[in-house]
Amino acid sequence: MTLLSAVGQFGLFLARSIFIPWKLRQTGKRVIDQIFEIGIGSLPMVLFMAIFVGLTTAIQTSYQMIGTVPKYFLGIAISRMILIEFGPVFTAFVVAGRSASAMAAEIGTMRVTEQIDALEMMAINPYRYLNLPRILGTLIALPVLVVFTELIAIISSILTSIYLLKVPFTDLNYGLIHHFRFNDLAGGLVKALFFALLIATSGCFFGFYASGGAKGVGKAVTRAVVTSLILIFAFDFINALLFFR
Amino acid sequence: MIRIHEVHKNFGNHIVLNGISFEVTDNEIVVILGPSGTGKTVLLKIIAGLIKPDSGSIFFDGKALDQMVPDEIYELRKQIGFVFQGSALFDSLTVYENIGIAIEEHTNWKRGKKQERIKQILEIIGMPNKHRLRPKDLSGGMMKLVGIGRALALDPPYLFYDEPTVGLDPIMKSRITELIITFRDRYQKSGIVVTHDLESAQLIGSKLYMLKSGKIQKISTIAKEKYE
Ligand SMILES: Nc1ncnc2c1ncn2[C@@H]1O[C@H](COP(=O)(O)OP(=O)(O)OP(=O)(O)O)[C@@H](O)[C@H]1O
Ligand SMILES: [Mg+2]
Repeated sequence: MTLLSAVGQFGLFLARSIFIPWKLRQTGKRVIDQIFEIGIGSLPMVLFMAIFVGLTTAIQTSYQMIGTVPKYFLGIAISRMILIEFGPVFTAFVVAGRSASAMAAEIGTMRVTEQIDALEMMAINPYRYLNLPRILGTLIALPVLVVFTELIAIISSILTSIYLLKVPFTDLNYGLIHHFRFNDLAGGLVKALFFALLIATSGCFFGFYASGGAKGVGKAVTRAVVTSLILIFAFDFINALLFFR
Repeated sequence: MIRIHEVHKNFGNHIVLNGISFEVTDNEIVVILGPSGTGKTVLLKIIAGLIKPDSGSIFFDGKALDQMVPDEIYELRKQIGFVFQGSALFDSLTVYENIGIAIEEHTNWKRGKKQERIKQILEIIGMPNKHRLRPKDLSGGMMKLVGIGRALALDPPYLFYDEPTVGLDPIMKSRITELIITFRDRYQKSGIVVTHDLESAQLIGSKLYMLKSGKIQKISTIAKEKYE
């Protein structure tokens, strides 16, 4: 399979999952289930990750800057890095690991046990029944999780800076508040929306085309996670190239 | 009425179906017998439109399946209840929800009417008290029954059964055989049963065919004995 046809298939799959009558009366509940599954389910891992990202970012940034620039730069650098890169990307990693895999496993199992055929036979569109709620759920849950990550990571790096690195709060705060740019936050969140699409589509896609019993489902899970990670890296790079150069 | 015309299907160079033709008239059940791996499931799924044949056509009341637009296929599928070989119950849903899913999806019935219909189906399949269980808590035979119940939900005129009695104990076997006969006689369902259970095949089917080496052959009583 050439890269181009793979991208085409992937895009077509996404289009078929979204550009259908949503039937919100039946789909709504399933979307909410997914938001909880992805959002609440990822919270502990995201919290853990955010605390450590904050800690490490503060220490590393101050290490790179020490003695060369005024201390308030630490605040700027930390918030920029977290809002633009670390928040969206690391949160997407966590959700890719947790949810893309879960989606591929669930949908893949349904495929190999003929449950998707059963949906078709009952005239229930499996794209709408299975994929749409997962895609919408991720689109809603991931940006919320990203904001949560950013908040926790920034708090954690403030605390690290003050108590571990002994940077005065006023300096730090000056950097954080006066150089806060709404576009950094918004840009990170827009990125999160794209990551959400990539993660959910990978999870659903590989599950949907799973074949060959339990082993096939295992393969689908691996492929879903690997593909969503690769796509996150690639998209993030393209985004950086286009908007931050 | 369903007419199957010259259906061919290969997987790679493995010829599974090599020109299959037969008819299912209204209020009739056609049974297709055949040893394991001859393509019974593939044939049934082709007739239901789940697998595309390499060539050949399926006609429902004169209308070719491959000429239908997606909306027509969806409408047709509401007319067909399909009982899967492995039951294919939705394992995240309860028995009650499994049976009710198509009703939930396709009708605007009031809650009371939905409940009444699902309860009626639970009675028909003889599982009135198991509606809260999930598929993982059911025996193989019970799963088959729920699969049958789910296929009945929208009261379709056609029922397709993929190995409805295989692998079950004699009591469950005769229970399911009787159900199929009841649907045929009391509710005027037509359909196709694929199986390698000759005993129930003879009770259920008005016509019996043997599928072997990609070909289908009507079997007479003598041939039936030979199969035994
Ligand atoms: N997707 C597929 N790809 C390749 N080969 C397939 C596929 N589906 C079915 N086959 C092959 O087609 C043949 C018929 O399969 P099918 O499942 O229809 O058999 P069956 O008659 O239903 O058997 P059983 O009684 O065991 O259910 C088998 O040899 C199977 O290996
Ligand atoms: Mg079979």
